[in-house]
Amino acid sequence: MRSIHTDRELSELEARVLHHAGRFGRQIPEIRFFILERLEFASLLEKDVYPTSPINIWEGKRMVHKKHAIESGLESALFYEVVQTGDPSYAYLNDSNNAVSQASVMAHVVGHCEFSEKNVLRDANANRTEYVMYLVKKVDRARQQMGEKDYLEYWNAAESVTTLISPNSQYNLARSTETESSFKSYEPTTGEMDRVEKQAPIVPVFQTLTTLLSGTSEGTSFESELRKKRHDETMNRKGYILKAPCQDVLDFVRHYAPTSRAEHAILDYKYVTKAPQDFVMRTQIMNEGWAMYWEKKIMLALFEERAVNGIIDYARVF
Amino acid sequence: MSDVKISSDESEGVFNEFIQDRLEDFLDDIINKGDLDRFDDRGSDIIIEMDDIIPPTFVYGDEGGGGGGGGEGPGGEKGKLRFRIPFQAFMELLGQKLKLPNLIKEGDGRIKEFSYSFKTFGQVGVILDKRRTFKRALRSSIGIGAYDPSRGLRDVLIRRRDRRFKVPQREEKPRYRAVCFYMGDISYSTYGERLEMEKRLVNFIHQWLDFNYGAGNVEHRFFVHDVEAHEVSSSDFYKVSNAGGTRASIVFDLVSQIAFNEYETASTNFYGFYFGDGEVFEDDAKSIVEILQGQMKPTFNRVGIVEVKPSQFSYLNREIKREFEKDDIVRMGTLRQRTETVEVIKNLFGVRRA
Repeated sequence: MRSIHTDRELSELEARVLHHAGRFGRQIPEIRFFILERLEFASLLEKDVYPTSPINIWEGKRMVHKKHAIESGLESALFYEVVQTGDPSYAYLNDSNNAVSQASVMAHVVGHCEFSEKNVLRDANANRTEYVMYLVKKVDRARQQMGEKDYLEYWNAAESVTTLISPNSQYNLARSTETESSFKSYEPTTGEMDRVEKQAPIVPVFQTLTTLLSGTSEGTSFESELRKKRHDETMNRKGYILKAPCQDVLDFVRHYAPTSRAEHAILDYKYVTKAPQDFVMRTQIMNEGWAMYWEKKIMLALFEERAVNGIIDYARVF
Repeated sequence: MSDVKISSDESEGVFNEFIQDRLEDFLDDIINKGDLDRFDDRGSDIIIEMDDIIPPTFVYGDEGGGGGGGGEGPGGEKGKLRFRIPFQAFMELLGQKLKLPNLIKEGDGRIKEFSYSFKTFGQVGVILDKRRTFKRALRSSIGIGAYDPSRGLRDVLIRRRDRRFKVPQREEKPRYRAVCFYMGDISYSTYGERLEMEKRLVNFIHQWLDFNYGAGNVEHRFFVHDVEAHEVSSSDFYKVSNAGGTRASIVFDLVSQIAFNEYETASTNFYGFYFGDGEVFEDDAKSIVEILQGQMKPTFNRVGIVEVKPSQFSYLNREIKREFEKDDIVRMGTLRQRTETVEVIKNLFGVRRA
């Protein structure tokens, strides 16, 4: 993966595309373009369009298959626009595309980014990519804490619930549960980063007396630690009242299920990476139409000023 | 962020390890259902296709109940699981798991194959063995007091005499020659599942002999018969078909003649495998037994007769069994359904209990 600025020609094209976008009055966030090789591209898609992801066998499996398919010519590695919206937005270009397709991808991305910025569903998250990269680190740490076997099991369980995400449902978490804790407005990701763990009150402990009272048969220290940990986890559960059945199951689980920190990190990662797809699905036609419309406008302007050649080929394909 | 290389290498690694760990459990499945596509010996990897493994999926509602539609779940793509493992490693594992002894290698094996392996170590050479060198250097550094963490000294001095190099050693392996005859009955309807079962078995025999003798040293020849016997190419072996009468003994006769006339019987290892539905006439079966007894058994390392999807009229194995029930050379197998492939392989290549 390299920045677009390493390629002079593409860099100039980018400047022209953004210039025309501005001229047409588009309000777009900062867009960072990167150039990827074809296998990097395939991998990026497997990672839900985030540059990193926690190690997991299912991604590995899909990539093994994909590599085989690409190598044996069953599948082409050509993808058009791949973008992770936000502020800044990250857009990825395929290094095997020609100049016209690169320009059209950039122009198309402009449309998507603006659409996402305007955000009809009001669930935009500006620094989504950065936050996911932070979560990946947490999940990788979780993997070391849990051990391979538990991690895989929990990952699978979490993955199987990812079909039950609906952050924009009328029965999403904010509208279906009531809680006495500070969790009031529905904010999927921001704000969770700086969630402060409540300090446990310091309880005076009289070591000698406690030992005498409880006797010596406490089991091994490991067992008692474990028991204590479970007890703490149970006590830390937030109380809630369910006003209506919650349709956003994964979000509910990650907020109210008794989990360890490691497990919570996995649930967070799964939710944060999958939840935005709901927006994409609900607004697909509007989104694509908007992007396509501005792509056409910008491309025509580019052809007019002869920034790119090949209008006939372009007209033939699109 | 631009210096990040996007790759799934680590995940692929974890996936491959996961497969290797569970490979033994998968072996039966691979043989019974999977495809073993072998490219060449030097490529050393085989790509195995088998039924996919999918992550557990979340199902809600009663199973089979009308309303509970349950998501298909992640990774629910139906299809094949595909992975690579080294050919050598896979065949060894297979041999162990199915308890197949290595095949007997007869013949003088006068022609040798040479290879070089780095098994010994010397003070001079080209390829430095870093691990050994470091070990010796550390030992002598401790000895002369240059490395002593308790005094804050952490120098490891690598002196000339500590260096250890990998030294190539010439290895000689005798090279054996083997020839395998595959005989197919084209008078019965070999298509669909029947053909697929036969292919799978032939494929396995092919791989197993190649593994035992080395790919370049085994000649594979294919014969078909109805009322006459012909030699065909390996691809035609599965294609030609004919409806009509059958005489199986002529193909055994042809094969044994070829074995005697074209090969040096003393230095060649012969294998013969017959595939058919076993519906033969009584006198035909009798003459097969004669050929097996008189010509093939003394020279062949192994003769296998496999009835693929036999019917109630299948007579061949019954007749042969009378003569060769506990024979080590002549083996029989019955392949009624795909899942019996492993059993047939064990019958053909496994150790015969007396």
